[in-house]
Amino acid sequence: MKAYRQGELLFVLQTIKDVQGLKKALAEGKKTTVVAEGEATGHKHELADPATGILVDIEDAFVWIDNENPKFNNFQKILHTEKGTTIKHPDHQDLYLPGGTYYIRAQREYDEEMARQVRD
Amino acid sequence: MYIYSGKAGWARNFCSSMMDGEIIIKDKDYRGSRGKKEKYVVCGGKLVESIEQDHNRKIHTVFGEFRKTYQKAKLEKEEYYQSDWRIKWKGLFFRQVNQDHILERYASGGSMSREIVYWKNKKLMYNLGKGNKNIKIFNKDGSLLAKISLSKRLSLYSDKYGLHVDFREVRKLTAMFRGNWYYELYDARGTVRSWLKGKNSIPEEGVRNRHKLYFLRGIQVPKKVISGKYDASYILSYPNSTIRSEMLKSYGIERVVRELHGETIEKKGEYELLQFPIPQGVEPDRIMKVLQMQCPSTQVWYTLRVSPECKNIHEAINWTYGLDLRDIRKTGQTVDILAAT
Repeated sequence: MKAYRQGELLFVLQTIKDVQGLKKALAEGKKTTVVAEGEATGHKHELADPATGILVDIEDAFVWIDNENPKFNNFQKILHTEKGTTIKHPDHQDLYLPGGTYYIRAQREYDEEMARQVRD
Repeated sequence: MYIYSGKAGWARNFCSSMMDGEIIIKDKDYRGSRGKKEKYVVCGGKLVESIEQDHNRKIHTVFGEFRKTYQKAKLEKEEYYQSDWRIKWKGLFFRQVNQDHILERYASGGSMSREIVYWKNKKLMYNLGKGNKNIKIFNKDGSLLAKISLSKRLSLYSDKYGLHVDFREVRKLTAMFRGNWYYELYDARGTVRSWLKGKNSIPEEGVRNRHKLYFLRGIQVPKKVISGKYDASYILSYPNSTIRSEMLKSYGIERVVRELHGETIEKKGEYELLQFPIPQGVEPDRIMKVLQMQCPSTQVWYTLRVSPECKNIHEAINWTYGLDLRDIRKTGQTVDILAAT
């Protein structure tokens, strides 16, 4: 699994065979330019130039690409860029992402209570 | 009507049809002592009445009317039906004599409309009507025990096992309801000594015998958990995992690491995996594992709590990226970071 990282965000590079599924996801997902917002600081990870990529939030959309739903693997957003795009953040250096499709999720943290519920 | 003998055994089964008459079945156990006795009355090809006697218990059913249960010849339970086994359309449809109370349920228009509970001495415990949002509960001596105020009416179920309002739970201050709710308990002089307030089955605040109660995620906690006056070792020694997690979130893993230092499992470049004992934890949470890492662009160290099953930095990093530990170990699956900022 190849990925890029900016702070706690992981951009996992995908090889998409199901182009129609991707097109549908990009059309039906909620369009945004903000990848994630810092909980404490409010600082945003966002597209430096929104014209260079399509970023969609798949939280409320039914997405099915290559026989799987990215939400099931805890991905919250999908980014597709033809010629590459840059992610900017006030505290981090710019992250350049080459052309491709990326599923995005945050680094996870262990929660004893959640883990207990899963184990139970 | 056809009668089958299901339990009679091989070569003893019979099947017969009858229009009118009585069937009496006497059961004997393997030692030959008297067992269950059943009597059925058939009229016009239909079963109209049955009496089942099993030791001290007797059940008398008149089909389409009632079923009465006796224990040692004392009437214990009465159920009144329509012809299709639905509860009686109007009036008393259920009465049960319990150890310390008598439960009565009434119907109106075919559905349950009221529950009245009496103490064995005939004093009222409560009278709960459909749609009631204010309920009074009385003690055995007739004095007021509690007043309950609800934002949503209590749903009444005709087949509910037990009472709709649990007297003991109210008295122990552990009863909870749907919607917003509040109830107060009175002492013998009629003054409020305890109260509890909550929402959707989760208590939020209360007073027990004039001492304030504190809650976090519906669990009663000491005052210091709410006021935040605790240190890292207090958090890790707290017995309840829900509260421990909540305290860790508000206190911050960084502060715990600063205060307790912990034991280093592995240190490699900009990563360090630490562990801390949790004295009250339950396996596998007897230890807390924390991955410390340095951000390549800001140079700031930050910490993430990782699964206690992570054995080294490699596993811990990939676990934070969302990979399953089994996949990391068995298939060698990892996240290959091409660039990080």
